[in-house]
Amino acid sequence: MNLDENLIDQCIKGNQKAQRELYDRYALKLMPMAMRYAKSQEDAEDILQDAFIKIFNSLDSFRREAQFLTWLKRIVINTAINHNRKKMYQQPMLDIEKVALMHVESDLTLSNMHFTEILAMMQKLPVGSRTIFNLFAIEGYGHKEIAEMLEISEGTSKSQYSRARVLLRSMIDEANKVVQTNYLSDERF
Amino acid sequence: MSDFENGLKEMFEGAEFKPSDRVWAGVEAGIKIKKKKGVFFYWQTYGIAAGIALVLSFGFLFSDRFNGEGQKVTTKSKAEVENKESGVKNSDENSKGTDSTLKLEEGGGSKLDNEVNSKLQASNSTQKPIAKIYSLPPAKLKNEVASVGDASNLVIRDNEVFESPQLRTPQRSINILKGLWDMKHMVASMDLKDYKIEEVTINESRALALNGGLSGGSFNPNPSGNSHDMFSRLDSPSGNSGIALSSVSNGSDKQLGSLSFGAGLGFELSDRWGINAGLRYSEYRFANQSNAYSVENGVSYPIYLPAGYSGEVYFIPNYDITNTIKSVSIPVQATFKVLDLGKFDVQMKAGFSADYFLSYNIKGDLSSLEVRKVAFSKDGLYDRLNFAGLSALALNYKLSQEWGVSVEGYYRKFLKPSNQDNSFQSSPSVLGVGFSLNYFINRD
Repeated sequence: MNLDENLIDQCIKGNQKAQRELYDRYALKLMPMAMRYAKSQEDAEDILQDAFIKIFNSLDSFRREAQFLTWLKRIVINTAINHNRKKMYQQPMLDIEKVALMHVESDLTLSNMHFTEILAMMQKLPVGSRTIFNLFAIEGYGHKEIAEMLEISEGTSKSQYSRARVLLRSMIDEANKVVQTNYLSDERF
Repeated sequence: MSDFENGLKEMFEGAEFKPSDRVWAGVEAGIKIKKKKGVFFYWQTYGIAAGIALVLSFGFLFSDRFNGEGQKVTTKSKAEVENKESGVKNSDENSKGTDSTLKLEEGGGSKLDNEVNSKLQASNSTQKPIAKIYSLPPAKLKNEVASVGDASNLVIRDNEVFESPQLRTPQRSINILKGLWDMKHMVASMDLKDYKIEEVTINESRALALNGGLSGGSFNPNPSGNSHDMFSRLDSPSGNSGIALSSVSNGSDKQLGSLSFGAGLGFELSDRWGINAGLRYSEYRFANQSNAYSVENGVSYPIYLPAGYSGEVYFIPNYDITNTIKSVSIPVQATFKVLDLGKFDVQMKAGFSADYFLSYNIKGDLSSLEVRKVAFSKDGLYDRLNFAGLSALALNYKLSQEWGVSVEGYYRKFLKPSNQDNSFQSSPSVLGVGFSLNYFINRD
């Protein structure tokens, strides 16, 4: 029995210390994930909190042959989707495929950026686009799966993804330009 | 997937970000609420415990309209049997009196009258000597002529009195008050094997009709039925009619209600299903009237027919009697949450209870009468152990994470024992209201 399994067993028995330990061990890793789907840190913390309550309440259903972290991530994703679902219905997603396809990509560099900067940009995306972008680009789900998960059409998933991509790239592009301008300004003086 | 997506993926792969402390606080609280739902004390209908909470329930027992002939106990007279079998005819004696009304006049002038009256006065100075016209129920002896269950105990002290043809004279009638008998529980059918014919006046019979009673799992003080114990003279060997000499009678039972308190323990098996068990103490009271009392071993007791009596019997004007039954019971119920509105929820409950009767006392409102303590017996009318089905609809309100209150309407139906005579047993039911204070226990 590895460390995680022992910890899981203790958590299932209701051992509070073990629950705290499991939380401390995984909350750091799962928080950025929650932040990607949220519009703010506070929103992300709400998602993380709900996800951990679900985790502790359903630990006994975790199948030991699966990767524990993968199982945890899946719960966070589902919690985030449920969290965003109401907002997505309030802001209906439109099919803007044509607009997205017309966009001409330029070279972008992410190497000089910290993930918190990207997070801040992602949080500015509309809720539907943000959710779809995360599911497709980071989590690796296909548009068909995303369409089923969010109960939307595949086309909408694709178009919203493209929209998010364009918006995010333009924000990154903008940020890079600012950095470059500052760099050149520094060189001049 | 383009470099852009791959770049983002890599960026977030090992990312870590510390959430604020409020997240763990929220998680901890969320888990606790779930755990508290798991096990809790349930002070419910049946409940007080350790002085922490007092819970009361009030109930009233209702007749199940079982009150017809089937609930009357009538047994055939050995005397009648003997008469019929032997073909003895006593028509001369009996043809002289067919009136079922018996007059007991004050100062009958007989030695026995004086004796009775002096005893009555001695036992209760506030009571006047017998001076009342007693109207007995219409004689139904044609079909219900009966004698006591243990006929050998039907001993008339002065047989000569009963052999007299002058039944209608007050003197003769009052002499009946001197009759001695022993009436025990009268559920079982008569066993005539040991009958001692020489101790019985064959012209006398007795009709007993019991309404209400409690026995072997069935308890039914009957609100609508009257019990009486009628002593009659047989009219003729053919037994067509009889002359009522006197009758011990009780009026209709009046429910005074029940009060119970106790403690319970409940477990939630799932979000909706649960089980609870408890221990309760209860007192049930009902009132009645009696027109006679008995003197047993020198002590005067009120007479409530279903409880039985023995010794000398004295007839007096009606007086009130109160029946009190004390019991403990163990109810076990399954619960199902039919509605959950956050702080409010509605539960349906169903189960059974085992009731163990601690005592059954009958108190007359005459100061000279002692309290009659009824003996319990498996074979008699009153068994200690009784079973009932339970159902309830409860409205629960959560005051806090630890405390809650409930109010419920409940229904109890006593079960008939399988080994009892259906002609007498009945299945009374109880409707009531219970209040409870619930304390939820945290398993941590």
